[in-house]
Amino acid sequence: MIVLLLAGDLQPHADESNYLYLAACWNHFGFYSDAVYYLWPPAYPFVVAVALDWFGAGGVFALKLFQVLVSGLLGAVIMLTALRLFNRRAAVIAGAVWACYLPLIGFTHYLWPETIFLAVFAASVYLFLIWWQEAEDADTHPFRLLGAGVLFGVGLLIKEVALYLCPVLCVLVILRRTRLSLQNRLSSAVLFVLSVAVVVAPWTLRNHEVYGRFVPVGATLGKNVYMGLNAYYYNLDYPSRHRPQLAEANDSLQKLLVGDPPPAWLPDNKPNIIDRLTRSTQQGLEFARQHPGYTARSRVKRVADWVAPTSFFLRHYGLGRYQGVLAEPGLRRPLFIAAVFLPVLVLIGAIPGLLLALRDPTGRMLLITIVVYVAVAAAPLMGMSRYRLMIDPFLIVAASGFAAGFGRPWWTRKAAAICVVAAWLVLAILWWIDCREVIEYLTMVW
Amino acid sequence: MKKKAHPKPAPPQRRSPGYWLHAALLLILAIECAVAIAGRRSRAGLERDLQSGTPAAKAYALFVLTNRDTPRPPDAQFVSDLLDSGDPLLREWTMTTNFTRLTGSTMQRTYLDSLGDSPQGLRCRFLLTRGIGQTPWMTLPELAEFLDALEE
Repeated sequence: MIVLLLAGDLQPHADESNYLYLAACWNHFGFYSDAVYYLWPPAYPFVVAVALDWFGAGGVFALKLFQVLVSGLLGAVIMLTALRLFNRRAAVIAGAVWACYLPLIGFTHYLWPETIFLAVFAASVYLFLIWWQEAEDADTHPFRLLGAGVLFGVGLLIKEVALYLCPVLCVLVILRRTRLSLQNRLSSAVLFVLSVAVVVAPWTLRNHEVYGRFVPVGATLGKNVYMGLNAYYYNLDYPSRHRPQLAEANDSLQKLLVGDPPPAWLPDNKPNIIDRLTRSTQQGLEFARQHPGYTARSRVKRVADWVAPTSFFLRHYGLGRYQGVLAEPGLRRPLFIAAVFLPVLVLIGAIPGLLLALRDPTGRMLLITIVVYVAVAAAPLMGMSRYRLMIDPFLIVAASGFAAGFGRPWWTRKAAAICVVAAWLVLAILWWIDCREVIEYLTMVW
Repeated sequence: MKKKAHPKPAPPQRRSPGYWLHAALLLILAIECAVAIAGRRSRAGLERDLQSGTPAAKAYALFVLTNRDTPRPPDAQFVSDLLDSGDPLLREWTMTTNFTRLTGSTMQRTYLDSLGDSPQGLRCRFLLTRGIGQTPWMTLPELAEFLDALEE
């Protein structure tokens, strides 16, 4: 709330303008259109449309205020998850980290759906976790599973990134041996899918009505593939005017990993947006098959970008969006330090938190599955920090669990300890790949 | 002598809450599908709306017709006809749709210039510049201006 008030009226940037445009069109024409390059799920443009409808131009501030309140829900869910998986001390630490975690705070006053999505998604994961931990038969808390599925479906209507996580979770529930019989596990997986489906189905059917194609919630993959599985390299964590200088600062590694690209492919100009985006996905996969070497080395850079301690909060400074008090060096510099070092500490602490401190096998499996899913699904395409936000709440929980039990003799579990050291090593290498450009960027906007 | 106890008849089995939840969700899903199928607009119905519906129905019909399997040809004549239709909402929608991008923006811009600084001109300018490409970006004063123009 404090940052929202200090930030003042931020001018919209990039997708923020598109969300406003979609919302204004929705109010004006009475139906939801698409954003030319994407078919975004409808929930966030709908919320923006309602805000503009009720409050006029003041709806932008009203929406940001709403996002701040929703962010409070996210904080509560983070603390509850830490309490469930670790202890009261971990919950307090997780709450404190969340309250100071500027990459998440930033999105409360941007017109991006991340804050609302994360609150709904984290609540869904929490309900799923407590159901899974206590499930003994098909009748153990079915309403928790129903709630988890309904919230998951609402989350999909906000952002479709978790779409394939639904089948992954169902397969896990079926395959993992618990006190549930196989029949009960199947029944529970079906209940979860059905509860997601009842929320999503009306929109899926509407998409079929309008586009004549099966589109569960939205179509954003094609554009991301166009930018990610192509000869282009962008890191959207940096303003475009800074990118040439940053590439120069990290010249040798940039050349090694994303230099000498093969010829780029251009998207087809099919009139049907779904066909156009589906074709883009196919073209991207063809590109990857034809140029496996370039694809592989450029993935390393993108994953390095994904874990780099940058954020849209820092990007806003680079864009010169923050004015007034927030731009004063006396406040800006401490915020910079917090925005860089807190994600670093969370990433370092989350690894032993997940692999050593978290003793509950159900919780460990669920959180690691979500982290791996996002790492596989999102990071290789566009490795910017915004795609890490989906796992940040769970990383905060894991890191807090580790911090709460710091000093315990966990190292006796040798296999897990070796995994932690190996993961730290990989993280260190990925940070080393990006460190020159990150330091250069921070110096530029310091 | 003790009487031999008769075995008690097994209590009738009650369906579990999980069973009823599955059934209820399936029912809701079936209703959703039925409503969607019943409400699905045929191409002929959409064409009818485009010819003689309300302004909002015309714009929606145009939106669906240009996105479905059999898109109308997004040629210059079609766009020109829509811009000359005399229906402000339809003209504004024509300015913003994807398919008009494929024909180039010269015609829309010529049309836009003819509207001058009227509220309708402001609306169309907003819709056109935001619908085509991602630059220049919208500013908050522009948004406020657009919303004011809607009220006029």
